[in-house]
Amino acid sequence: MKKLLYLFPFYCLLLATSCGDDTAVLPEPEVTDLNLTFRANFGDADLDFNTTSYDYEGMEMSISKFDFFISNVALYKNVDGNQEQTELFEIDFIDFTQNNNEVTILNQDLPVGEYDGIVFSIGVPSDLNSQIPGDFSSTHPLGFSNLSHYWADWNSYIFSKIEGRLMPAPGQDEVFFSYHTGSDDFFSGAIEKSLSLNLEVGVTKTINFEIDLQNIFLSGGALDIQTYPHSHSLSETTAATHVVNNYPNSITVN
Amino acid sequence: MRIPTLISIATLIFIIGCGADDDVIDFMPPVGDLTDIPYNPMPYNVEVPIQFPPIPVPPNNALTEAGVSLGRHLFYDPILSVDSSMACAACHLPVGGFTDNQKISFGVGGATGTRSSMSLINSAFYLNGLFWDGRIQSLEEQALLPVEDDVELMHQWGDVEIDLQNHDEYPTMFRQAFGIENVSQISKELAAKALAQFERSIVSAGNSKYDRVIALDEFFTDAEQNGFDMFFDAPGDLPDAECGHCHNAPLFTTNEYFNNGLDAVVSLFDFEDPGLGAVTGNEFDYGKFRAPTLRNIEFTAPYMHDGRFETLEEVIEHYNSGGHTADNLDPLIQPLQLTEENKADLLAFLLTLSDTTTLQNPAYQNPF
Ligand code: HEC
Ligand code: HEC
Repeated sequence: MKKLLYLFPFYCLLLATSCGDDTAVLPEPEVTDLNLTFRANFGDADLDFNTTSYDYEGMEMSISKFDFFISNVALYKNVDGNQEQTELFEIDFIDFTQNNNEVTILNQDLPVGEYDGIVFSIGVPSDLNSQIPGDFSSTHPLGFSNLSHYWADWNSYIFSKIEGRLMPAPGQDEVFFSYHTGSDDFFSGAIEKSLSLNLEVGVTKTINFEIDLQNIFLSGGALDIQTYPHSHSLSETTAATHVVNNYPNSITVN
Repeated sequence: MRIPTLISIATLIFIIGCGADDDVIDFMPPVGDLTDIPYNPMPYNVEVPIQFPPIPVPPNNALTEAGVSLGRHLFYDPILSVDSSMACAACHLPVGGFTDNQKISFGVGGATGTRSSMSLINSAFYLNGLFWDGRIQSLEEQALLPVEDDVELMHQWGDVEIDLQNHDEYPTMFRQAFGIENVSQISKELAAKALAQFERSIVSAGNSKYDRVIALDEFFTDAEQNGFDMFFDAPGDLPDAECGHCHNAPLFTTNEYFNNGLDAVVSLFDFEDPGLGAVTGNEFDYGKFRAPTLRNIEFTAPYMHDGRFETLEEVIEHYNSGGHTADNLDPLIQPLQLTEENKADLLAFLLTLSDTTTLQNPAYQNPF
C-alpha cells in the first residue's frame, strides 16, 4: 500500500503526459492474487465422508468429520541465509465436512516475485487462544459462528476435529471415535514446506495443500482406536498427541 | 429525470385544480405522500450480556428505534393473517420463551403444522441456517414465509401490503423506519426487514443465574455445579453428559445439525421428518436437526422438533439411554450412565439458564 502511495505522483505525471499520446502506458501494479486450496485424502483416495469404508488395519473405517484451524500463514523467501516472510493471513478455519472436502482461500494483493516456500501452523496461536468467542465478531472463524470449536473447560479453542466409526469385526459393536485437539500444548508450531513459486501480475496461482488422514492415523505406528476412541479431555492425551505429531508429515504442498 | 412525466402530472393537477371550486389549491401533494413526516433514524442499541459480541447485523438493515418499533407492532398484529385472527406472536409468545408451548403449532383455523415452534431468543446470532432444518439463511428471508404459509397465517402479501398502506398508523411508521416517501412504497420486503430488526433485538439479557455465576456475582448450589460439570464434561468423578459439545456456552447452541438419536429407522430415508436431509439431499443429513438454544429451556416445553417430550426429565432420560442408533447418529450420543442424583443435578443446572427478565422485558411485549 505504501508503495502504491509512493507511486501516486508518478502516476499523475503519467496521466498528465499521456494527453495527446495514444501509446502511454500506466505503471503496472506489482501485486497479484494467490489461492490456497485444501483437500483431504485417505491414502491414495480423495476423502469421502460417511459413505466410503476405508481399510484400517484390517478393519472397516468411515470418517464423518474433519476440520482444523490453520494460522500464521506466510510465504517466505530465503535471502542471504535469512527467511523473509510475507504474511498471507493470521487464521482461518478449514472445514472439509461442510465443504465437500475442498476449501479455497483467496489471498489478494501479494507482492509479485519468487518465493521459496510457505509456512503455517495447525491450531490457534496462544495470543488468540487466550481469547474467547465473544471477543471476535460473530462471523470471524473464532467467533460465535464457530462456537462448536471453543471449549471453556480447556480455556482453549478446539484446534482440530476428526470423527468417524470403526467396525472391528462382524458381530462386534462398532466404535465411534472422536479426536479433538486443543490447548496451547497441542499447537503445532511452525510447519515449513518449500516450493518454488513465482507470483506474476495478472496470473492467479494456486498452492495445493493435501492432507492425508490415513497418514495421521498410521504414521509412527497405527493409533489404537479401540483402546483410545476419544480425546475429549486433556487427561486423554494419547490420541491427541499422536494426531498433532502427525500433522506436519501428513501435509504435502505443491 | 422523467421530465415529460412530471410535466404531464403537473398539467393534470393543474387541469383538475382548474375544474375545482374557488378555494383552489395551486399544488396538491401526490396521493399518499409522506414527506411531511420527519425521517430521523436513531440507532437502536442492543445490550448484550458478558461474553457476547455485538449482534451481527446485515449492512442494509441496521437497527433503528423506529424500525424495531415497527417490527414489534407487525409481530403482534393479526393484520398479517388472512382472517385477522393471529399474529406471529400467537406461536412465539414471550411467556413461552417465544414459543407457543404446543407439541405442534396450529395456524389459522386450527390448521396443523408438522413441527414445534422455536424460541426467538438470540436469533440474531444464528448464522448457520434458521428453522429446525436450516432451510432459510436470514431473518429477513424467514419473516416473509409465515404470512403465506398454509399452516400458519394463510394470507397473501399483496393483500397485506394494501392493508398496511391503507392503515391509519403504519404509513407513518414505515416512513419513520425506512424513509419511504409514499405509502405505495410499503412493501413486504420492508415489513420483513422491520420484523427482522425486532427479532434481532430479542437478546437474552444476561440475567440468568448462569450468567450471574459466570460474572462472579453469585454461586451455583452443589447440585447446579455438579450439573454444570457433567454438562461440560469437566474432569473429575462425575460422568460426562456431553451436552456442551452441541449446546455450547454462551449461546447454549452451536447451531450445528445432528441426529441426536430420537428415532429408530431401518434406513436413513425412513425418518418421518427428514430434517436437514430434505434441504441438502445428502443421505447422511436425513434425520438431522439444528441443536436449539437451551437458554430459557424451562419455559419452552414440549421439547424437540416435534414436541415429543413434555418435560426436561424425559429429555434427560432420552440422552441417558443413548438414543436409537443409526448410521449418522452423532458419536456423542451414547448411554451416559447417569444415576438418579446425576440426572437431578443436570436438571438443576438447566434451570439456571432461565432468565425471566428477558421474557418480561417490556420492550418485547405486545404494544397494542
Ligand atoms: C402457526 C404458528 C406460527 C406462526 C403464526 C409463526 N411462526 Fe415462526 N415458527 C413456527 C414454527 C413451527 C417454527 C419452526 C418451523 C420449522 O422448523 O419448519 C417457526 C420458526 C420461526 C423462526 C426460526 C427460528 C430459528 O431459530 O430458526 C423464526 C425467526 C420465526 N419463526 C419467526 C416468525 C415470524 C416473524 C412470524 C410472523 C411473520 C412467525 N414466526 C409466525 C410457528 C409459527
Ligand atoms: C450430538 C449433539 C447433541 C448432544 C450431545 C446433546 N444434544 Fe440436545 N439437542 C441436539 C439436537 C440436534 C436437538 C434437536 C433435535 C430434534 O428436535 O430433532 C437437541 C434438542 C435438545 C433439547 C430440546 C430443545 C427444544 O427447544 O425443544 C433439549 C432440552 C436438549 N437437547 C438438552 C440436551 C442435554 C441436557 C444434553 C446432555 C445430556 C444434550 N441435549 C446433548 C443435539 C445434542
